Amino acid sequence: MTSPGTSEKPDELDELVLLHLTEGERQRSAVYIDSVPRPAGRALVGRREVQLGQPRFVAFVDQRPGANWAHPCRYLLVDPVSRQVEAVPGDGPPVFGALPPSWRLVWRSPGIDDWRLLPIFQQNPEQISQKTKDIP
Amino acid sequence: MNTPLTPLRPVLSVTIKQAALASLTPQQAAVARLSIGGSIFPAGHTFKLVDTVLTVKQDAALVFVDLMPQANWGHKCAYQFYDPATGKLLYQQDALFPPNLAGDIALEVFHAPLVPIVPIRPVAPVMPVSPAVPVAPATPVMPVMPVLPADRAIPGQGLTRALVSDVQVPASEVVEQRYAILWTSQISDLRHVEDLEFMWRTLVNVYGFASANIYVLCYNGTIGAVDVSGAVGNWAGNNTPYEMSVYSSATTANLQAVFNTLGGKLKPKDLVLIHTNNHGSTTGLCVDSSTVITPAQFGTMLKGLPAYRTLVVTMEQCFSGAFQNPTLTNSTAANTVFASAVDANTSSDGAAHFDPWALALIEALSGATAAWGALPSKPNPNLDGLVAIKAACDWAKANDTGSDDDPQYADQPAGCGSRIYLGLSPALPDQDGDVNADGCTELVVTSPWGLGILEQLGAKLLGLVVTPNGTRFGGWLLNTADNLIGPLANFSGGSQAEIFISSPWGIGILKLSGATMTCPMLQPNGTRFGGWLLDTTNNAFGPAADYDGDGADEVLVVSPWGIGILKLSGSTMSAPMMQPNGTRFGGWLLDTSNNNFGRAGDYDGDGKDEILVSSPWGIGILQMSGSSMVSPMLQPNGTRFGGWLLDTYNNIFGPSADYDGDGSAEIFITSAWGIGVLKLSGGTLVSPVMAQNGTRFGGWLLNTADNHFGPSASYEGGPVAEILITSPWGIGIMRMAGGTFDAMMMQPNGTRFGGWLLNTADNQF
Repeated sequence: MTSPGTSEKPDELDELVLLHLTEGERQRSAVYIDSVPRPAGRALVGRREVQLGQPRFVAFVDQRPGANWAHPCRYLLVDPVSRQVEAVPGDGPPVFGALPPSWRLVWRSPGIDDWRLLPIFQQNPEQISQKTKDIP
Repeated sequence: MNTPLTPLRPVLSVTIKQAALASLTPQQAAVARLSIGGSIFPAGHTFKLVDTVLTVKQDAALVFVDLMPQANWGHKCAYQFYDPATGKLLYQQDALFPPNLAGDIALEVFHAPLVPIVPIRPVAPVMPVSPAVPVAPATPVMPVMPVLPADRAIPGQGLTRALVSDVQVPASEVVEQRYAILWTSQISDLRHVEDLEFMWRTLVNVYGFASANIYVLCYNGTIGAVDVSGAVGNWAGNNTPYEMSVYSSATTANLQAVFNTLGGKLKPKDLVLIHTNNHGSTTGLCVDSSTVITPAQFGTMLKGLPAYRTLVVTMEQCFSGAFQNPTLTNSTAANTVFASAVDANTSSDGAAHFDPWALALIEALSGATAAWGALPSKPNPNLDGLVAIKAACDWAKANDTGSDDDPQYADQPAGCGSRIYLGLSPALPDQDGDVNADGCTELVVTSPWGLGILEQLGAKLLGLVVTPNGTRFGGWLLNTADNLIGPLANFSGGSQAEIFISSPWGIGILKLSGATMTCPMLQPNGTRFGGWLLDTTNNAFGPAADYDGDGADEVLVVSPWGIGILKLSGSTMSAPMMQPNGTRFGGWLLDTSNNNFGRAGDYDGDGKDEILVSSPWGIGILQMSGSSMVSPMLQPNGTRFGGWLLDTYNNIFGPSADYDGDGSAEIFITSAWGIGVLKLSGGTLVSPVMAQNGTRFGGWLLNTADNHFGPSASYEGGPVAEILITSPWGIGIMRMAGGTFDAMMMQPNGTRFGGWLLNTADNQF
């Protein structure tokens, strides 16, 4: 089991998120996960404020990567204990500009060029590589 | 006690005005205001100038020279006294107050500063007592207009710009300013900033916008973007440093401040371009991650502007179509165009560099890629090769690579975008003609101050009419801020040219009468000329020509509805021809949204003028026939006229004139390949002259990349028209000779024509 507040076993978390992608999202999207979970309480996902009863990992599904904002996207809130996933619709990115370094790319559909991906601030060169996974 | 005054004879008044103007240095001419008294002041006449008295030494006419016309009194000025018999300057006295502080002396202003003098500062204190021989300045101090448009030059006389420069004729920049607001947000990506830089370069380098008139609101007040940390580096277009100057950060307050600034500047003939390149939400244009400018807010900003001529709004951000109605509804411009990448419900596409729709739009406007390379195809130009906003938007829609974009377009009045160009309006659209029927051509010039009609007299120009705004010509109230002058033509027949004039109120025809003008015809908008409903907000007038062959000229009028020919009829106009879009003129399908009309001439030598028309399909010649038109010639692109391959996307139609002297007009045509002369022959055209770049016309090396052609005229007199060619090297006059041209005259830059120093880098013809 993944402990809240850590980013251990990211593959397990990634697979859980990818399982919840729609068919359309599998065909055309870019998916990012913040490895630092949000604590319980009020949290901002995109421009929407939500109330979290438990800590949640946040995944961001960009449904039209490369398009100007605002455009359709989804936030997936993952309970690391129960493994339940809650979806929140959105129309904007977690932040404008580069994502904080705790975010990582976990899925890009075929044909999504690099320029369509959100930039991620890098803390050191070892973290530069962007990871992609196959749909489980 | 002063004795009663004797009126000054008008002929002497003219001579004295000329002498006074000639005495000014160019610097003085740019700032001074000259006025003349209508009387002869006898010796001993006194002017009470607050704390001094100026006594006239001998009988004289007075020219009062105000050297700081925008300053409060007292300030430096001069009293020039002229011989009332000869018009020669007798002497000059400097002073600090005018002669008419009490309003008891009538002065006629005949020269005024052409640009506002800000700040007020002292100017050259005195003028020479004896007028110097006027010498044309090597480089005009003020921008000046081309003197002889098209085919109206005085045969055998070289009316030069040197003469015009003596009276400081303004370029149209003086009365027509073009402004731009370029906006990204504080959350923009670098690609948005790249678009802004491309637009900025296009406006400045292609269209000649003053960089000070472009308000760039970008990011945090610097050239930056949220997806870039540190310096942005070179511009992606051609890998050179950014050139645009950022005015302020992209905040709502700063945008409102720019609108406030424009509100204090805009004049009736000005143009404003607003381009936003950015993110957007369903609620509005993004400012930062939590703030937007709503369509309603934007509309309120537009509504706060004064009246002006043209507003063009182009928006790239998501949901930008939501701004269409607020823009059209709240615009205070006479003509408004709105274009956006998407409708009100759609997100717009991005790209690695540049947003696709914005890129395509700016490419269409610039005529080149961001790397300044050739476009794979061209927007549909008019006969001069100019691309209207509508044509640019059409091209952008067709070449937008953003698969999810859905470009929108609207204009108000409908169809106006087909005749809106980002360049300056032609400085002299047919503003010359023989207005006093003396056999010579006169020029009509305007400035923010008023209007003048200038006639060449020896080595100078004589002001036949020099009148400030506010003057009534019959019922027409002169206001050069919103009056459009031209075309000049013989609307009533005979030998005297009249002046066609239009304004937001309506139209009129002015006719010279002594030192003023009468207005034999003036009608307000809403008047029906036959069936034609006059509406100067969307009617375009010209060219004027004798379409029906009765010896009097008519004027072509084009609107979003169709076209008409208006003919002076007593105190109004009639419309002997008017037809709506969709009409077939022979084979030509009328569509004023993409038809370009111009270059009237008697192409078939029948004594009636025809008109050249082009479209994306090809070209035609239209001839009036009863109450409609016929097309004796129409041919599609791809047609060979002799050896000339027609391509209206890449051909520029130069002045039409009788180059071979056979009594029929021919069409001068250019392309990137070279030049040609096209002549009507049956139902098509032939090309008696075709010359590839690299050809030598005598000593002139043809290169259409940097040669400019026109005006055409019979520079040597006689029935054959020649054409003026200019290049970075110098100028030449070419005459058709068999299947080629000969250089009758060619001179390099640096040559002095009398006092005029030729420099094609800043001379305009």
